[in-house]
Amino acid sequence: MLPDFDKNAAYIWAVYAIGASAILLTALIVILKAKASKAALAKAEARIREEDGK
Amino acid sequence: MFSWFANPHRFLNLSSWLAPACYAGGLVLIAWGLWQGLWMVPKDDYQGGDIMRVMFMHVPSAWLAMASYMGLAVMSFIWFIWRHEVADVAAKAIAPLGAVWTAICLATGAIWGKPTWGTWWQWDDPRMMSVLFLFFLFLGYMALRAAMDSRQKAARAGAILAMVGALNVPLIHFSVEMFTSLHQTASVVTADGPKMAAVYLWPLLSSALGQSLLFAGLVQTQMRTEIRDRRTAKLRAQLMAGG
Repeated sequence: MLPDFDKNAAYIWAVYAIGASAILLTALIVILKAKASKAALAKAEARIREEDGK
Repeated sequence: MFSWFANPHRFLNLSSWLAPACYAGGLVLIAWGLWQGLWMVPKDDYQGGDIMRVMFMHVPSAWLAMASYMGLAVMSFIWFIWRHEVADVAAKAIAPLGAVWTAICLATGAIWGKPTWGTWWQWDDPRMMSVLFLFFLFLGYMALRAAMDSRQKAARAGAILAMVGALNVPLIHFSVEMFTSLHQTASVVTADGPKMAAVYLWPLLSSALGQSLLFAGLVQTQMRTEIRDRRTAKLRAQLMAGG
């Protein structure tokens, strides 16, 4: 259940909404970038192995 | 000690378990701090009623904004003196995250300011302007690095900017003591110890430590990405030279 704040409730919820969404969005971008870089490295390593095998 | 950490393989091994541990610890502490801050602690009429609950988001983000810039400056200094590549990787990883936390600090501070001071922003306020300058330092650092045509030049130019810009951090901290400001003076980090009641202090410290751990986990993930990207670029160059 949500807490019952005084007349400034809208300001309080706005602060937490902005803070939480900025942090979550940043974390999502960092994790997606990490996944993409892992895949790119695996692809480059596979190509190197392929070249070495020729 | 710096040399021990300067080895990318050691860093990758260490961060493979340390980053997830930072995420887990950070989320637990943030959750506890928020639960206490929003549901459990009594409102403080001296601080304007319920609006003081904004503190559990705003103050940790302000501390992290300053601490992350000091981290950026220290990593830049280590790279500048000892040329340890992992320090440059760390500096590059810290900058965008520091910018995000500084933006959170500015936005949440403005929202707190409206019901407390009657204004979202004041252009001649030393605390607000020095934090805004910090935000531009982070953006400037990233823009400067991106404008350079080689990694070494980017690291060198960025390191100089980061070290010079570190002078702004003590200015932020002492701005409310030295000049007239709407912002209140420090109530936790003071020479006489915290002035805040324990019922507010512990949730605040929990939120601050939680956000710091989350930040540290994100920096490590960013650093791992940068190390992998550099390795990928090297392999691609090798393939181009071979083909």
